[in-house]
This record gives sequence, structure tokens and C-alpha cells, in this order.
Amino acid sequence: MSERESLNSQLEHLQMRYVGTGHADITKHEWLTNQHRDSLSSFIGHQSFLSLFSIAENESVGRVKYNTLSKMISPCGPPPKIKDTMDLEKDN
Amino acid sequence: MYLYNLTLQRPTAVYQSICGNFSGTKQIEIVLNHGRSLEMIRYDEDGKMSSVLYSEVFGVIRSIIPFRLTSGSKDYIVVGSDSGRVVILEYNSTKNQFDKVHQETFGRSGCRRIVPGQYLAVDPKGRAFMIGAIEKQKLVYILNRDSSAKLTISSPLEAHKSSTIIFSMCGVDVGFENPIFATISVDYSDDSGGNIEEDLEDNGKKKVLTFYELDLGLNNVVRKWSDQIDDTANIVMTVPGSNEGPGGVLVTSEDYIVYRNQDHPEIRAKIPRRYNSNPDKGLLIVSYSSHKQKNMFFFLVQSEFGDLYKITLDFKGEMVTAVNISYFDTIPLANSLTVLKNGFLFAASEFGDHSLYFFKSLGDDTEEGNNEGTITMEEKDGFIWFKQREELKNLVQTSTLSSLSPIVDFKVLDIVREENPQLYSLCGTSKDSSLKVLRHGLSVSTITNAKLPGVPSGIWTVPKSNSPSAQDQTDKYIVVSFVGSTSVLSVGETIQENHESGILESTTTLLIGSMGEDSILQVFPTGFRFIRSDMRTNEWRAPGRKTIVRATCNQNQLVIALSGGEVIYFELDQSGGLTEIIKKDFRRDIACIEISPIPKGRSMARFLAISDWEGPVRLLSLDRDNCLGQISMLDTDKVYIESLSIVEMQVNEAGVDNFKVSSQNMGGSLFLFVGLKNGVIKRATLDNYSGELSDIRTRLLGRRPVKLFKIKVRGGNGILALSSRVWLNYANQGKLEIVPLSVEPLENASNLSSDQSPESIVATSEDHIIIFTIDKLGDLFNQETIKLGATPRRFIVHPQTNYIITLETETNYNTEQIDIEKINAERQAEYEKKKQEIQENMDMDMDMDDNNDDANTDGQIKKPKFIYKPKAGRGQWRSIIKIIDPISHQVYESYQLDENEAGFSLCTLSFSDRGDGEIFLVVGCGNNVILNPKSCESASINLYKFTEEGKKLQLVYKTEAEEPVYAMAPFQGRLCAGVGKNIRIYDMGKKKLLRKCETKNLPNTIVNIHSLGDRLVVGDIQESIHFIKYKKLENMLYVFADDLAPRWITSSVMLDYDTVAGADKFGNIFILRLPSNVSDEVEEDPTGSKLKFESGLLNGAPHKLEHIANIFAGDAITTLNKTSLVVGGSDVLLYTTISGAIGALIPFVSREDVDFFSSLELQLRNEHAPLCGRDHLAYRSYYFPVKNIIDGDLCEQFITLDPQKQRQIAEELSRSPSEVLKKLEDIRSQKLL
Repeated sequence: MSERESLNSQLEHLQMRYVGTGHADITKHEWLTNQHRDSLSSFIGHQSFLSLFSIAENESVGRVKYNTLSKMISPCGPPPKIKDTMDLEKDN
Repeated sequence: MYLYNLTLQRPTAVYQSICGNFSGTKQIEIVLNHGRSLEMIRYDEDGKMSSVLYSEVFGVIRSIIPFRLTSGSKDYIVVGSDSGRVVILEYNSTKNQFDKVHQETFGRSGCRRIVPGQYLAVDPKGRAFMIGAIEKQKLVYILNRDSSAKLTISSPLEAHKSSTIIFSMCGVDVGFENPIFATISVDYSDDSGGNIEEDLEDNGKKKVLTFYELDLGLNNVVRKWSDQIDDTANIVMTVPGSNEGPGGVLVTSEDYIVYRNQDHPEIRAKIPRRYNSNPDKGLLIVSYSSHKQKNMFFFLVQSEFGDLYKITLDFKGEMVTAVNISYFDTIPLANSLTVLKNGFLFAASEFGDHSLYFFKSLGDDTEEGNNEGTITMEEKDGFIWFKQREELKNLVQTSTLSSLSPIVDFKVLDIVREENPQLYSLCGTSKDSSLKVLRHGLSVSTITNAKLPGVPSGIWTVPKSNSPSAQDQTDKYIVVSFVGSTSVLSVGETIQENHESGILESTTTLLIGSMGEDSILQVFPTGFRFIRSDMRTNEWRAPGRKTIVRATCNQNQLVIALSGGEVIYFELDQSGGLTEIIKKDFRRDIACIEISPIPKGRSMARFLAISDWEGPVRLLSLDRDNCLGQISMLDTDKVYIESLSIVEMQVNEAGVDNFKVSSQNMGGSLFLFVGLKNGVIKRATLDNYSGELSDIRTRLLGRRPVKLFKIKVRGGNGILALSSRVWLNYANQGKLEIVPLSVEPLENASNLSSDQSPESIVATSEDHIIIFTIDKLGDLFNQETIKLGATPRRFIVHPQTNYIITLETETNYNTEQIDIEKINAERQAEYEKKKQEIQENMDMDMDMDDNNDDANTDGQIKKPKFIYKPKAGRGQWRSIIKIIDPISHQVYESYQLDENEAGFSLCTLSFSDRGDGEIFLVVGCGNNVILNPKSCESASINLYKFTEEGKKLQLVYKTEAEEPVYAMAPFQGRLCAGVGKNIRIYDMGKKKLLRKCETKNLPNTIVNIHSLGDRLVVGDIQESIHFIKYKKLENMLYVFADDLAPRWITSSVMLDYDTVAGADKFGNIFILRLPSNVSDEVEEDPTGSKLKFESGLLNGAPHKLEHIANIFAGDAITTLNKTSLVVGGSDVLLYTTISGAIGALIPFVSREDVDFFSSLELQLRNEHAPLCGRDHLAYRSYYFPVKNIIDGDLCEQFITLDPQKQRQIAEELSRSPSEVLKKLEDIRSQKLL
């Protein structure tokens, strides 16, 4: 097996195992979404963060937690429309 | 620089509470999750809580859940933490600690997205539990018993599903069929296509309820059933099943509670709402608990407004026909509710004190005829509305656990001039916020305070009976001695003079003691009198011209010292009289004399402590073969000795197996206390057999000579040490503690036991007699609370009047005290009026312009923002400045800022250009601020002047700013303000503040500013600390140094000219220092040209700060203070956290100490791994590697180790266990409280 293939399979294994592992063709949106999900889950894990937000927003901790979890579903909105090659050519 | 990290006040916020029989007895215990520690509390029948165990785990506890094996009687605790491990704990009641039963590793450490630990669910029969991550991973462990009845745990079974976010998890009650776990989850995977046009809020992302079945036969987990539920669902709760109920789950979502089960139609119920709450915003359930007893179960849930609802189900067999929701009561918002089995409810508040309630009734509307108690429910717009009760109806609060969480701002000051500083902290949020004044010491409640005819010289109490087995342990008399007279007061319903006690009243009394069964001994200068219960009295006269100067007695023995140094020893004989045993002349005047208490199971005590004025203290034997012979001595370095005391206390000794000792029924250890003239107390451990004195501790208590008095504390012995402050020495959870009492200085004291209060203290202070009790033993601080109305932000102290000025600012504010209907009507009217005006204008312009349409008119004026109950709504602000007198706690001024104007920072200063030194108050404000994404309509800096001797405020003018001002500081007689990312220097003008100088070279938003000389040290909200130099000649500001790491600063404090300590949101505390060559260079650059043209890489500053120390403290740090807590002590760095903890970083003075403590820390890290499986070093290095800070919290766990380990560790450090303990105690007592 060539080196390149084994590297690929290793990467794939990592991507399977650890959600959020990047790859060569990662888009800005994908990367950012991952970053946001990581941060949001850290906020939920460290309860003092939820308290902090709850004081700032004057909402209940339960509500803040629910909002944070809901945000994780799609933290950066839908991915931007992929311009296909035809459009790019047109732009050029 | 090396520092020692020590927690002063433990975190008081509770994130989760569970209950169970953890010690395996009938007693119900509550276990609290403080985020970084576990605490176990018990409560008695009256609903009084007491803490049993507190255990720091050095990890982030994310969830805890109790479980009990089938037919077991003891509950275990499963802990989900950030350690990447699941830990099962068992409470060990003999050692009073949590034992780790199992620890299973499954992932990486840290609060990560896909590492389980966030959610826990157990099978109601205790056969298995599921541990889940926020995303994807879920593991199931099977629990069982082995042949020796020990708990076993299986290897994990996976129930993963990628790209799903989990909202909630619980076990489903299926009796003894295969265990089922229910989760609420959302699959987000389908948004990868990149062609989704529809709105994300309600696109294909469906929230589903999924049942996972653990097949015990096949040993795997399968998704059994899945069905769509409401998009806003957030909690799933177990419904009792098998014989007790229908099984299945309840799912709560905004406005609805739904019963769901497999093969069962969904049963919905709408949650009743409060009057005037925002109908457009759903009502969310935030906490819940369930209660199950024979033939009955119910749920208690709390909405985000604090209203409790009771939920019951109508069912027949397994068919549920209805879900009933009724309003129950309103209590402060809780993180966690726990209904306890015997009619109590524990509510762990989000912020503020936690409460225990008793169920007065279950709200079953039995009193329908009674209008007072019932609430009116009304149906309108598809909702059921109710008015919440002002007072509790179904619950009664029985006790509270006080909590400082969250500490928003904190300062250590002595504004009321008390010698010892007070700790001022702004606590709480919204309507439950307060300014708390903390003083080190226990609070006392005074029962009586009466004037006496003269200044007493002594006070004693006489018990009704002296035998420990007697039923009535209360006291009969209080005896007060004056110069030349003695008066006797009898204790009863009232306290009144008594002349029939047999006590000689025409003389000064030296000692009153109770001897034998019920005899009274009175010692006076010319002799002593022995009064039997039948009033027969014997008198003994001092020989010749000699007088008695000192005397001491226990139940059976009496020793008197005569002037000139003669000591006579008496014993109680068979006939109940006193016989002289031996006489010895010491030829020196005796200053103090003290006999030891009689050990259990013996009739005579063996030791007598005696000292002349200059010491040393000698310990004499009372054994017949060596009567009054010296055994050992304690040197006091020629300091005059004021008093001596020997007491027996229940204390765990270092390196000694205490369980063995206590099983031998030894009672406790003997301690010799010596009070010295210079205010120092010495304590030595007295060996029960040999009389050796060892382990001598010294502590300064105050300015006056230390007098010692024995009292009773919690049924054990204690010592009251009276100096310029009053201190209590007692054994608390096996540790000898010394704490001050918050009472006036006292001169004499004695224990008093009466029917009303079995453990009170009677004391004299000048010519007053005071009777008081000690409250809340175990607390470090006593609190005084000044109520505030809205979430506090900052407070400062006026430099001249010492009044406290607080700034309270609240968004989405509490409207319970506001007439919202009136305001909303006004706003509506205003809107209508404006609309009409515009309409009229439009009509006039019509001819000229045809382009009028309605949308356009609406666009020009904003729709009115209505406010709602109990919270106004997003983007609505209220802000108040208060002036409070720190002594009388009177609020002089309550200055409300304009509508939707929010104050964020404040400072006082006097402008040097004005020359009159008048002090102004400056407040940084923003209008219509929106927090996320950050925006504001306008911002201003408001200048106020003080009127009426600083008691009132008057607005001078407002100065426009582009962004809200979060930080301000006086700087060289001018104002330095951080406007967004600009640092600006303002001077006072006629109509507004005048900009004098500005720099825009800072990254984001400035959150704090310190000035020293011509340097400014500025903290940025996410880019750490910046050093700025002000060049006066050029009137320019230069950023000349910054930090390498991004840090989200919350607070910072300058330690010296080049050093700054800062803290961030993530819980790191760090110290940064300017390299000395840079500091010199900056100072020696007269033209500033160097600074001007120097620039660093990537837009950074030319110089970088050195990183000196770092530690992760556990949760978000709110404030840092450099202060000294003990009079004359050196400074320490105090930090407070959002969870109500107060900690300190103590600088080490000697290298020797650093070596000692770092090796102790290392030993403990190796020998005593943290309870929840996190690595200590990794935990303290959470975001940045720990540097130069030794963790005292870990070092102090030395005391909880078993003796063998203690000895082993001490040996490694080439010291004895008690020496290690002494070192630990010393560092705490010298620098802290």
C-alpha cells in the first residue's frame, strides 16, 4: 500500500472517530460551524459559563442552556450556496 | 515569584442536587454538585440542614445521578465529569469520605462535544446506566453484583449516532424487562447538501424522542423506537412504571407537557401561564423532580419564571388518559429540584441561597370554598392564565444554605473602622440581589443583655446535677463575683437573684465549681466553702495571714494556690468531704493553675498545669507516687502568662489511626492551652499517659491578654479565648478550628445551659451581662445583607464620605414591582400619536409626493416595545445608581437612569484643572444596547456631582461617546475612559467632557484600566493586558507592551509598577511582568521617539510581557484584589468566582517553603489521585500550563488521607505527619483568616 493511501485511511479513521477533524477541502463554513459547536458544547460543560450568560441576559440558566443547545444544531446558518464552475467562469 | 493557591470560601453555587440513602441507613441525604466539588448534607426532622462532607474533586463535575441495585439498601453515585471517565462513588460513613468503587475510561479529558459525561440516566431498577455526550456518543454500562455482593460494572456498550445533538436523557421504567433509555435529540446531518433554501428554524431538523433498548440477553443496545416531538422539547422525565404507574416518559417543551410512550397516543397538556407574560414567547420548564410513594406519584416542575407546577397523570393500567398541570407555588429559580421522601423539597437556587421546604399540602384543592388560598385560573387566547401567589401556600421554608453566588464585584475594605477589614461583595441577580458585608467569624444571637451594679470579676454557672447520666443537664445558678461581693442568680423561666444557695455573698469569689454529685464549691480569698445539696456547708480557712490567690477544680479534685507560692491539693473522699492530700511550697507567686479533666472511666485526673508569672508552664503529676512532681514543661519566652486551660477534644491526629483510638473509647485528645499577656495563644497536645507536651502551635489573637474559658460546643468541649476579639476553639469534623465570634470584647465567660437553649454562653463585658448563642457553626463568615433591586454591576467607595456607590444594571428587567399596564398603555398612546402626526404630515405632502404607502409610515417610527411580566423582554434596560451608608445601611439615593439607558462602569475623581478638589461621579452608559450581536443606539459618559454632603446625586452633563464605556479610571487629575477599543483621556469642560488624547491601537473592547504614574495598564475583553505609556510633553499614548496569549479578561490588578495579575472568563489567573530592561528602556526614553516608531509583529506592541505564574481556578473569575486580610499581615491576591467561591494566592517568602510545598504537592498528586478521575496537573493546566503556583487545596487534602499514607508521605518529606499538618495550618492562619 502506498504511503499516500495509508495516510488517507488514517485521516478517514480520525474523521470517523473524532467529529470535527478537518480535511484538505474543508470549507470556511464547515470549519467555522465546527468551531462554534466545540465552543458551545464547552459552555454547556462548564456550568459557570451558563451562569455568566444567564446573568448577562437576565434569563434563567435553563433557558440559556436550551438556547445554547439549540444553537449547536446550526450555529452558523445554512452553508453558503456553492458557486459551480459555470458561475465562476461567468464571474471571470 | 511562587504562590500558594488556597480556597477561603468554598463555592456555594449548586448545579445539581440528588438524594438517596448514601450511608445505607434510613437517613435521607442530599448530595450537591458544586461544579468542582461534591458536598453531602443531612437534615433533621425540623428541616435544619447541616453539611456532613465536602470533597474537592479537581475536575469539572457535569452530572451526578444516584442508583440502587435491585433489592439493595444503599445508593451509589455515578459521576459524569470532564475526565473522560465515569466514576461510581460510595459513601463511606466510618471514614466520612467518598470511596471510588469503579472508574472506567472511555475518552479524552475535557468538556468536549463527543466525550460522554454531560448526561446520565439510570435504569429505575438499577441494572444499567447510560452516559452520554452532547453530540453523538452514548455508552451503556451494565451493573451487577458478584458473589461477594460487590458492585460490578460491565464493559461499555455503544449506542452512538453521529451528527445528533442530545438535549436530555432519562431511564424508562419498564420493571424487570430489558432496560430502556429515552433521549431527546436532533439530527443535523442533512444540512451538508448546500442547497437548502428553507428557513432553518423549521426545516428538516426534527426533534425526536428515541428509546434505546439494552438487550440483556444479547448484550447490545438497539434503537427501539423513535418519534417526532415538539421542536422546543428540552426535558424528558421518567414516569413510574410496572405496578406503580403507566411507564413511558413526560416530555416538556415550550408551553406543553406531553406524555409519550411506545404504542401509545401522545397526551398533551398546556402549561398555565402567568398574567401579563409575553404571549409570543414560549414558556419553558427548567427544572423538575418527581416523587413516588405507594399508590401515588407526582412531578414538580419549575418554569423559567420560578413558578412551580404539579403534574399528575390520570391512567388506567398502562393507558394514560390525561396529564393534569396545576400551579403549585412560586419559589426562586432553581438549577435543580429534589423532592425528598419524607415530605421535604430541596431547591438548589440558580443564584442566591438554597432552600429546604416542607410540604404543607400537596395542593389538592381540598379547600375550594376558601377563596384565600385558591388561585383564579382563566382561559383566554388559548392559554390558561393565573395570578401567581405572593406568599407560599403549599410549601414552608424550613432552612437555607447561604450562598454568595454569583459574586459580581468584591472589595476588601475597612470603611467602618473595625480594625479587621470587611469583605464587601455584590451578590445575586435581579430582584434577589444584594450587597453583602462579610466579616470573618461566627455570628451570634444575643438572648439577654443586662446592666449589672458593678464591674464583675468573674462569672460561673452551676449545673443542677453534675453526673453525666442525669436527665436534666441544665444549670441551676449563675454566680457573678464583684470586688467584695458575690451575687447568685437562679436560672429558670426568668433569671432572678437568689439568696438561698448557701454561697457566701459578702466576699469576692475566686472560683465556683460543682463537685461530687451535686455539691457546690466556692473559693474566696480567705478560704473555701463546700456546700452539699442538703445545704450542709463545710468551710476551710486559709492558714495564717495567707490568702488564696488561685484555685482550680474538677469533679473530684481541688487545688488551691496561696499567696507566697504554697499549693495545696485536696481530693473528695468517700464521705463526700474534701481532704487535704499534699502541700508544697513553690516559693514563687503562682500566676495560673489548671487541673486536667477526669478521663473517662477513672475517678481522678492525673495532671496539673501550673505557672508563675514569667513561666514556664509546668505540668505536674497528681499520682500518689509523684504527687506534685514535675513531668514536663512549656516555655513561654518570659512572656507573662494570663491563663491556662486543659481540655479534651475529639480531634483526628496526623499519622494516628483515629478509628482505632475512638473504638477504644478514649474520648479524645487532651490539649493544653496557654493564654499570654501579649495576646498570643499557645496550644500543645498533652499525652494522656506520659504527660508529654508536643506539637506546639502559636497564634496571635488580639491586643489584649488572652483569657481562656471552657464552654460546650455541639455537645463537645470548646474554649472561648477572650482578647481584643473573642475566639472560639472547637473541634469541627475532626479538625481543631479557631474562629472569631462577632461579639463585643468580653471579660469573663461561662457555659450556660437552660431549657430554652441548651448551649448558650453567659459572659460579662464591662458592667454588662450578656447571654448569647453561637449560630451556624462551621461558617467562616457572618453576613450582613443590604437588599438591592436589580442585577448589580460595580461598586465603589466615595473617597471622602466612605459611602458605598453601587451601579445596578439589568436587561430584560424584572417588572414585578412595576405597573406594566400603565406603561404599556402610555407607550401605545405615544405610538398612536406619532403615527397620527406622521399621517397628517403625509396627508399634507400628498399633493407633492404620491409615493405614500403604509409600510413607509411604519418604517419611520418604531413599533412600541411592550414590557411584560415578570420580565420586560429583550433589549429593555433599567439602571440605578445607589448611595448607601456602610454603617447604618441606609440607602440615601436611588438615582434611576433614563429609560433604556444602561450604566456599565463608574468611578469617582476630582479634576485637577478645577483646583477645588471637588469629587465627581462618572458613569459610562449605553442606550438601547443589544448584547448579541453587540450594538447600541448611542452611548454617553455621564458626569454627576454630589449634593447634600454626598448623599444625593445631580447630573452635570452627558458627553457623547460612540460605544458603551466599560472601564474608567482617574488618571493624573483627568479621566481615562475605554470607549470601545479606544483609550481616551478627558478633561472637564463647561458643557461636556473634552477629549484630550486618544489611542486606537487596542484590539477589541477595553474592560478595565489601572493607572500608576504615567503608565496605564489596560485589559481587553479578549486580548489580555496592554501596557500604555503617556507622554505628557507630546500628549500622546503609546501601547508599548502586550501579552502573547489571548485572554478574555474579566478583572485585573496591579501588583507593582511592572507586574499585573489578571483573571479571565475561563477561570485562569495569571501574573504578567514587564521585563526589567524594557521597563528601564521605556522610562529612559525622554523623547518618546523610540516608542513612536517601534512596532511589533502582526500589529502587536513592540515588547511582550513575561508570563510569571498561572493557574486554573475552576470557574469564571469575577474579581481580583490585592489586599491583606489579617492586621499587619502581608498582602495576598484574593479572587472571587461566579459560583461564590473566594480564594487566595499567597506569595511564598522563603525558598525552603516552596520546596516543601511543591514536594508535598507532588507526593499528593501521586498518592492521592483526584476523586473523579481527572489528573490534577492537567486540571490546573486546563487552558494554560500551571506555572509557579502550588495548589494548597490539594496539599490540604493531606489531612483526609489514612494515617499510613500520611506517615509515608511525611517520611518522603523527612518530617513527621504532625509537622506537615502544622505547616499547612500555619500558612493558612498567618496570611488568611
